Amino acid sequence: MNKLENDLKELGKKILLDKTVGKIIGYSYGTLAGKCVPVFIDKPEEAGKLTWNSFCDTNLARYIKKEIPKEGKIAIIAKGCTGRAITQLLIEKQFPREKLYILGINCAGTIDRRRIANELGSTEILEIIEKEDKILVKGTGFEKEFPRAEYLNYLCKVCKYPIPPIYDVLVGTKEPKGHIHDKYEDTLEFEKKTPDEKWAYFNETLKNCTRCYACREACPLCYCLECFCDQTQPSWFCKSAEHSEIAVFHLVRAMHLAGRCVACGDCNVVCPMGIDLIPITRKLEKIVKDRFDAEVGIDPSKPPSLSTFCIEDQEEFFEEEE
Amino acid sequence: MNPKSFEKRELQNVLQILAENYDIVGPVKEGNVLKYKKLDKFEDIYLDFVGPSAIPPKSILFPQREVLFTYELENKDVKLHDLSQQKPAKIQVIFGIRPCDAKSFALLKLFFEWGKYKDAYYLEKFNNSIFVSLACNNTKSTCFCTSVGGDPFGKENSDLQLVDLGKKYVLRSFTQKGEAVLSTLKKYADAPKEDLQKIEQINNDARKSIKTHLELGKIHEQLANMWDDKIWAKFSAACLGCGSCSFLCPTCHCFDVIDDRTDERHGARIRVWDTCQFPIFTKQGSGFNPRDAKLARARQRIFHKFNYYPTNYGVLGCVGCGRCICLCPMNSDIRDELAKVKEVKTATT
Repeated sequence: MNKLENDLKELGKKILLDKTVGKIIGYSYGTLAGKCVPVFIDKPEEAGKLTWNSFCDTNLARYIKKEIPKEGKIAIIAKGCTGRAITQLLIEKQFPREKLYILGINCAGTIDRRRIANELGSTEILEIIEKEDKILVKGTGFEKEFPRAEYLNYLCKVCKYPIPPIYDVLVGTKEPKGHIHDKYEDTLEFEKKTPDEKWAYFNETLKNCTRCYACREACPLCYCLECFCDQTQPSWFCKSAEHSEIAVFHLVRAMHLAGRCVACGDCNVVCPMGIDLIPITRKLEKIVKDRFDAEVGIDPSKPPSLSTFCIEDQEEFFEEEE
Repeated sequence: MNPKSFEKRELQNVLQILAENYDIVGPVKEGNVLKYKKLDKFEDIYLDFVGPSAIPPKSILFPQREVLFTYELENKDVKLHDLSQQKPAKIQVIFGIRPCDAKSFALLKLFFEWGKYKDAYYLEKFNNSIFVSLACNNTKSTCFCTSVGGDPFGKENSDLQLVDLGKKYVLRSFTQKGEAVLSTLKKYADAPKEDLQKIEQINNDARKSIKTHLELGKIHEQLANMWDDKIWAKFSAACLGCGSCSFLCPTCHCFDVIDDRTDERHGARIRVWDTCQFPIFTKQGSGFNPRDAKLARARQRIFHKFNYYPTNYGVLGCVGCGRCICLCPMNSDIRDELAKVKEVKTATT
């Protein structure tokens, strides 16, 4: 057990015992190798179930609104991107700050389990062990090591905010990881494509979508009480999984998240079909950075870029084309 | 007929022969997703997989989007084109499905032919299909077919079965439909005795490789007393409600019927997959939703498979493929849930 995990278990037990909080939203081991799942703990003796490791990839912020109690507080384990989601939800006035006790964690990035699974093909992963800078994967009759840094989720590789912008207590060290200068090289590369090439790319990427909406449900910022694609009066588009409908769903969802996406990548992690939605969310991030010099969910006092008007904003679509 | 055996490299030729009489559907990889499609090129077939495909072959007989009829407005008349009686030009061979998936088609049939109104769309396709299962030499840790009456080499609803013997395949038939297919493969030799003995051996090993054993004999009775149990809230706490457990379940069959308008004068009535895990699934016109809590939806899924199915049809509505375990983003594990159902003391009053 790593020290961070141990500290977390002890602190979790303490805050449940002294009734600082009534419940903790955290991570626990799942039944499959390398899967950590959300857990809701309300008894001090169960705090030992809490875990923290490189497979705690889910953003727990999505559970806050449903779990927030009428009286008292709940605690949440927050890595950097969970913290950014919490900050953005607070900016959007989704719950009162005093209801939440944030257990911040300095996150070293989460592992792209799917990439490892895909590279192993039909061989099943039966055990995954973290060994400092290596990930040891075991299955029937094989063992393979993967370098940790290379097999991080892409957004973790370019993440500048491993620590949540706001927290009540930080578990573990505050020591920052190396300085990261994200030049959006992936997005710049994607922007070089012609419109036809981009369209072909999206059709290819999205063709396995079953419209289960796991991406929407996992997203901490997708909290509409009724999503546009569930509306029936009017029904905006059909419910089947044809290319055009899949594209409409993902692109409209992207529009709704412009200036609100906190780059946690949970939409990507949870997709049962392994669809890579990161090119879309990265583009959103880059637009907001380029146009408004804004990064989402960092400064609790800063209103969302697309909900405010500044005279300096670029508004070239007001200008007439030559 | 005796089973046939042929070298693995002969597979494409075998499919070619079958294609003279049948349409061939088989497993193909699109990106990293294994699904079943009509094969245009036989080299696309992908048989080197362990456990079930991501998208179950139910999509062949019960597609995610299925046109029931189309309509056309002509002046003031409406012309309907009913597709329910449409017969396929050729019988289709659904090749390389796991024995659990082969069985799932029989379970789906129980539902689609139940009661007064028969579902012509499913049944027509079912009756015009030949099911060729691919026996599981290897199983996944999430497989539990033997707990629900199946077997890695299960024969239920398989017309034929393909067995991988390393360098060659053995193709054996269990039904008349299967015999008819085998009779077109006369040029291949009958499988020798040692091959058949080898099959027994591999089957035994495969059965032993399944590590999950659940005694589900009386589960429908146990569940009946557990409607208000606390476990449903526990099982569903982390659930996203994406419904992949049921969308991609080979025995889940719920659908929605909607109109898909092409233009002012043309359109279609279609049915699409639906899932009890979506809140909107039970939302009524009045706005009332009898199943608006996550725990109620989690309960519905287990009840449907392990209480309603045994009550209505006398069989469990689960084939133990383990897809729902592998594909759940939150690693909800039906084996765990079933084990806990049994543990829970039911209230006696």
